Amino acid sequence: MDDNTNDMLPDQQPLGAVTFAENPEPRCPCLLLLDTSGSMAGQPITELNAGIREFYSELQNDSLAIKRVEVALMSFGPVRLISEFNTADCFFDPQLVAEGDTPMGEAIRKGIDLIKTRKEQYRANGISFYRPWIFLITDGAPTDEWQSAAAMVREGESAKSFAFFTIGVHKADMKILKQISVRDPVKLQGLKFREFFQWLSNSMKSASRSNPGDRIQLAPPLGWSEI
Amino acid sequence: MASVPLKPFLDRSGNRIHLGKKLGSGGEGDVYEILPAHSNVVAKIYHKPLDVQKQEKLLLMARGCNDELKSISAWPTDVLHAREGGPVVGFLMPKISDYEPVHKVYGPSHRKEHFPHADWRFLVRTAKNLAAAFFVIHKFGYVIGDVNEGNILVNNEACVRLIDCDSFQVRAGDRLYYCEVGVAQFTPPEILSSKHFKMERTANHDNFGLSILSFQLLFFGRHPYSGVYSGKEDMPLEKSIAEFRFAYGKNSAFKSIAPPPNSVGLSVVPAQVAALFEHAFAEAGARPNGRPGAGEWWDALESLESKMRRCSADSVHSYYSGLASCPWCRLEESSGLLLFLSADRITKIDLPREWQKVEATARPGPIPLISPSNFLHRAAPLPPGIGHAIDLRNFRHFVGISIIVILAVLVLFGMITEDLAIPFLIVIVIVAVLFLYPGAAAAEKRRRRGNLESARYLWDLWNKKWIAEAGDAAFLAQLNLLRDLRGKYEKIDRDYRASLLALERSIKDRQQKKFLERCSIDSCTVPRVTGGLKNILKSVGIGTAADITRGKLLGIPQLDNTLTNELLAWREKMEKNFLFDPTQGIDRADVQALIHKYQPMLKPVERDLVQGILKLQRIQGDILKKRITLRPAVEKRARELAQAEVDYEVFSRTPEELISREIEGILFPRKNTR
Repeated sequence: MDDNTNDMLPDQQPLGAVTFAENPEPRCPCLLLLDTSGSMAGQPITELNAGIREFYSELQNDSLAIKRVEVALMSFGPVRLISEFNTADCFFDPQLVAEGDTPMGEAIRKGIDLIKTRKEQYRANGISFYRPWIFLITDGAPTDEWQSAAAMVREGESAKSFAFFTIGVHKADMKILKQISVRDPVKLQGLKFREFFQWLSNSMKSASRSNPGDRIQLAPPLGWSEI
Repeated sequence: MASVPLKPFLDRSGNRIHLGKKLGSGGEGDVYEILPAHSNVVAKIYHKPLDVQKQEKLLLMARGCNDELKSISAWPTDVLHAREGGPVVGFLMPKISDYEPVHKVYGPSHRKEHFPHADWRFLVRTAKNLAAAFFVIHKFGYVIGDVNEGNILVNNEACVRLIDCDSFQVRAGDRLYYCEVGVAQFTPPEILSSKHFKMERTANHDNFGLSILSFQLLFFGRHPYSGVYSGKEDMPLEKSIAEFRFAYGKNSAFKSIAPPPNSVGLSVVPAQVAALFEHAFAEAGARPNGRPGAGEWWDALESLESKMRRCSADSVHSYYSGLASCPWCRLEESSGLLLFLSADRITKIDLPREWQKVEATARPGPIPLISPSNFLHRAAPLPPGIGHAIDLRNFRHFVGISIIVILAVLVLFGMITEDLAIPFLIVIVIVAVLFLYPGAAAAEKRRRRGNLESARYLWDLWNKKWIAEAGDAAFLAQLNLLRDLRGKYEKIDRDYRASLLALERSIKDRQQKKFLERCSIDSCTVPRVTGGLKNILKSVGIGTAADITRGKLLGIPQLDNTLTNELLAWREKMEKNFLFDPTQGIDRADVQALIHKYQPMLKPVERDLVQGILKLQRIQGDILKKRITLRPAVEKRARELAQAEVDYEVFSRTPEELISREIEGILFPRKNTR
């Protein structure tokens, strides 16, 4: 049966509004900006995919996190929105493929826009939310204009609109990452994506139980970062 | 730490307590079963040594333990020591199983999954039982402190249990043992800003948490302070609580906050309950004992329970009987939400009856055609003088054309030479004047052309409107939509019935097998099946009719073909004796699992169908009405266009027409201009 027949009936509420009524829990949004440039090919991208799968299954196993944590995935190289903000029960396997260059600037700008749109939806639907987290994971340096993106990050951080974290893999240009992010970039130990996502899901689980205010409580990045 | 401790622990009286398997693990400690198993007591053993304060607190709680506390919470019944005279390392508490955290009850998505039978009555009962639990805790002078969505559990009979009791605040004389934790969502505004919880908590603080949870239970998981905030900045829940922005309160507009879309307001509860919410969430609540206590909540909810009505349209809708109509039907209609799952049926509509309504809606049929060509008109009489002017113009044109023709003939026959160039030029000027001289008719012609253009424009407009509004396209489109919806509905319904049938069949098979298993081979009366043969059959595992299959019999050398067939026939005879008892064996839970699988699929289709049928009837009515009301206006425009066309036609003749007319006019002088 074709699905678009329903679209013809007017007075239909957009799906989002129903979802919020079915699950009015406060939301804890988390955006992952993932580098899928050519240099990530092979082991790195395989490990990244596995890490994301584990991330989702960790969240699914927690009855509060599954209602509160919303994850969006955006890959760059080229920039693609793989998954809109969704709770973990709507998980779908991203199966990222490494290709292209590293348009990090564009990804950051689009990502920040995505956060903005989602926050507007929360507000319109009377859903409380925690400060969004953005995690940028890259193994290189931007191949496009990134200064304007860095300015947006600074602005967003100072307005407490979101918290922006950067994770460098392998030969990532940590100097540029330091210029993009207000917070110190963290270097991933080898390809410990799984450990990173395990840590992230734990952090999200505890954040989703904390107070939807502006405090950010991250556990120390142990077990996956080079300190 | 994770390994099972082998050494037994000692309780206060020195009894040895042997731990069984680990049941759960938390931040502070692990919970173990007590041996012998199946006891209704469990033990919590802390990961780290406890400070003296906490040890004293646990001891006090264990001493204060009574049946009332035990019946509503995982209250410490005794403390545990690792060795005699050693520090307290854990405690015993009642085992609580088959309970779920309260957020799975108030959140609609989780409720439908984990409490599929829960209706609003269930939610009210849960809130009432929650108030009862708080009442007991407060009655004995304790304070919960850390009220949250995870440490209050509910079972499928709406009974409530409080867990994590070791964090409660305990008072002993002038000594106070703090509750040092809390969750912002349930923390009252007056202590929300403090950086830590090393402070005295009061029952009034707990009552804030109780009011929040009651609200969430009664209002489908909505937090009372979470709404649509009209300010520009972010409004985190914590801040909203601190600023008393109760989104559903009578002062909400003043607080720049409104209830979220697809939510219901305080009007769905009796005034008494609404007043408690207003009280609990307003500034006055922050004063000592300012909020309604657990007892008041219990009374109000008890009274609400006695004033409930079941919706006539959907039996799963229970609501406050003081309302004129079912609020859940209205919310489901307007939002597309499925608030509750029906316990017995997957659908609440009768499809054939609904479809009769579709059939009964007469098709408007194709649109009656209105066309300007249906209207014949005489051209409006020309104003005096204009007729003559037209004749004159026509004459001028005739002369002009004649001159051109003559000239052409002369040129053709080579009768014009170059020295005639100047007279030739003069002739051309004369012809040009003959043609271009506007004459008295030109203004009238312009006017009539203007009329024609505006008549054509208006006609197009009205004709489009006529086709769009009086045509049957919208009706047919809606009808097709309904047919698709019916198809969808029937498919889901078919799938449901098929699953139900499969379930029934499997149960029938199971019942039949059981029946055959009771038909012992000893009861077989086939003459040739002797006692000896029966023993042989039993020795190869054929003890009952259920065991008899051709495959099994073929392997037995003592059986010839006839005997085999006779045994199979006996089994068939036994099978015929079997009577399926549908009342026995079909598990309600299995059927309900099916209902709960298919109902959410069917619900949106059902709603679209019912609304779609109403829309079809509306469309049909509109079309028929429009055919009557629009017709005069459209016909008027058709007539006007027909008129304008003939009016203008007088002026718009092609040259051939013109010439033939002129010739006609010369040959048959003046029949009057048409």
